[in-house]
Amino acid sequence: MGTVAEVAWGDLRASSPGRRLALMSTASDPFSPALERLLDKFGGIVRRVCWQYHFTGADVDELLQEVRIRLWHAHGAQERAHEALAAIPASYLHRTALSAAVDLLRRRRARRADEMVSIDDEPDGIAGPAGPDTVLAESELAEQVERAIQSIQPSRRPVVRMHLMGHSREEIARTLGWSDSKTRNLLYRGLADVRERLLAEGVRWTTSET
Amino acid sequence: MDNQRDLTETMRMRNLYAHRMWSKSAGVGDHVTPEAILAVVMREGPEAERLATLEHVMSCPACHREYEWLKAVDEAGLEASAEGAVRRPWWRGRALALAASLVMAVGAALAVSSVLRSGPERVRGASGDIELLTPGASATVGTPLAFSWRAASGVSRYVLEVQRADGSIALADTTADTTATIAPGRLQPDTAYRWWVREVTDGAEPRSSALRDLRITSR
Repeated sequence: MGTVAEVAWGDLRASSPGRRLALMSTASDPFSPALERLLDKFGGIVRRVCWQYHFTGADVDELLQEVRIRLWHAHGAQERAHEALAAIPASYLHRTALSAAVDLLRRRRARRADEMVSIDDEPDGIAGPAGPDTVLAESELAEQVERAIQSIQPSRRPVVRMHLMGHSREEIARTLGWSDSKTRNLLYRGLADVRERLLAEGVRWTTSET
Repeated sequence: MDNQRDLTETMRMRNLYAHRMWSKSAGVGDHVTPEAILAVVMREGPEAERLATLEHVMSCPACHREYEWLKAVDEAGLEASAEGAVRRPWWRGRALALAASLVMAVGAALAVSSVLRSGPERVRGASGDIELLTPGASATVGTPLAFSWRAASGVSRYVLEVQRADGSIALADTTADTTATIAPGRLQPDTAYRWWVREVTDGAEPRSSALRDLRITSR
């Protein structure tokens, strides 16, 4: 087993020219620091946005590592690879990250490990102490809501489901590429249909003011 | 009064919908493909297909989480593009830069499109091609740390890279050997790292290892 002098890139940047030359003679890989510079700012944005979506830690680390590997695979063997890296557009990085994210999902499915779903994701208000009668009644009511959704026009169902999952009308419109008026129209008609089906089954919502 | 009633109704229906959704087992049943979910996020493909995908996604906790994941990555990518996270070299003229970005964007789009349509990723090498041997998941502080991996055929040099938890590089080295020993003190105690090895090559088939966790523990 041979002992090899390790090189920290921070040391490389901070060292004197003579020392730097000596270090570079063992660290003949200029691609790595170029890759890290490229990923530095992008990684920060990815971490911040993913945190807002409650994705942290291993999910994001794995994604960034996958992006790192893909960039290395795509450019590492090129002549003057570090210059090629500096020239790639952000849109390329964007698509690479999405492709890597899809690949991670594929691998997780293959491993049958839905690690991203945790009980912490359960929305507030549905868990808590409740008697068996209450739980049963809620389950039956939830099934009635589901049946009511399934009975409405197919074009309205995804919109209603998105709304019930808590997505805003603006997000629904953006996701589907619809105008606000079209989205509002389909959503309210869909909800009205659901309400009508539930009323027909005797389900009424009460408030303290009625 | 109507607003209050609508609000109450919406909240009740959302609670009931969530109740049913989360009472399902996340890993059981048919799911839409990640590519179909990506098509929804990217607004690509026929609307009828995207609506069908969306209906499943909004009634399946596992697929909904994957949808949120892809949406987060997409949003981050868009934000990075808007902020110009990747600066172009100053010495490139505008015309040259435009031509280069067009060529690269088309190339990248074709490559990504090909990847997403053909199923399994096709890369020139693949992570996992180089098998890591030691250390395991943890090592004790204060002793030399021996990294080793199995030789891959035709490889003349390897890069060993140890990363901190935030992805930054703690140390890196190039070696012709399949071992490297790190002096005590270079890695901090009670700190999580990850490491991997990749091939240095001028050829078209660079290979790498998978990423392995490493925690340096106190004595």
